[in-house]
Amino acid sequence: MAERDENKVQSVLPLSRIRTIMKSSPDTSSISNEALFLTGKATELFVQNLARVSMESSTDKVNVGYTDLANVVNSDENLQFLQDIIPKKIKAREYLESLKKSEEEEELST
Amino acid sequence: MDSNSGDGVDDNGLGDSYLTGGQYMVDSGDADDTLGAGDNDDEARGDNEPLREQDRFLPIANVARIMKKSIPKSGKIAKDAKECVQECVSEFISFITSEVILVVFQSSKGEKGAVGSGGAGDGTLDEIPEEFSNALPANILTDQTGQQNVIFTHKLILVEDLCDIKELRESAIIQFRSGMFRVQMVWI
Repeated sequence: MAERDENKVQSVLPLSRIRTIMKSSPDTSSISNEALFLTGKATELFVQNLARVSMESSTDKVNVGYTDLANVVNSDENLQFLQDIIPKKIKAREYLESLKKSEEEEELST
Repeated sequence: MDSNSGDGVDDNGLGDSYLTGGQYMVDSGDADDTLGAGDNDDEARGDNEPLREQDRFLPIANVARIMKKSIPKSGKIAKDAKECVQECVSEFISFITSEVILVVFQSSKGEKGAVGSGGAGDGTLDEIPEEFSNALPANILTDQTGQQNVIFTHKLILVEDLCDIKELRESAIIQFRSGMFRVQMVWI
């Protein structure tokens, strides 16, 4: 029983859902089972990697919060494709201030 | 060997041969979530309808479980972080599907087989010979017939950590790069 388990590689993510997501990309014709499995495995590694670097960049090095994710995504070149998904949060007050500032600058230049 | 393409539903011959090959088994964890089953849902839904919320993302519990593997046992993950990673995952999958760069080569007798002794994540796949490190044009993985599908017919060994693979017969190596790490699959 133990030997059989060693040879068994399991997916921890639902492959049919992964297939659905892949198919939502334009121009995807058919997806072979191997490609599907590979994508699932790669996704697993991606999540592990992302969690690990976020934790490492966090202050307490134990917990992972949204800010840690945002920091990592904005600093790592490879993660640029995620920047739109994980924008850094700023307080509304800061945003309104910066909005006001840019309006003032516009008025000055006209 | 011929190349074979198609989704799980049409591909039962291939599916059976590698599922029972003993090298690995794929278990998606859901009772009715076999490799071929997903297709029926998609067809019923229709391609043009936008995906429902639950279809667009992978289950958050699964995602959270994977994240927990990377942090110390006492660590906690904020709820918004989990939701965020869940979205990132879907983006990652879409990204890969459209942007991945793949290197494929087919060796005739295994002489050109490349051996890598690095695992995914540490980028130490140094032993890939130079001549195989040129990527195909982006987005396109072709087999000999030039079809734009990811197509394999050989028995599959997924190796996360390749060590000492000495003999590769009829080998094809797919080097899958996402920019952060490489997952290397070796077909024998």
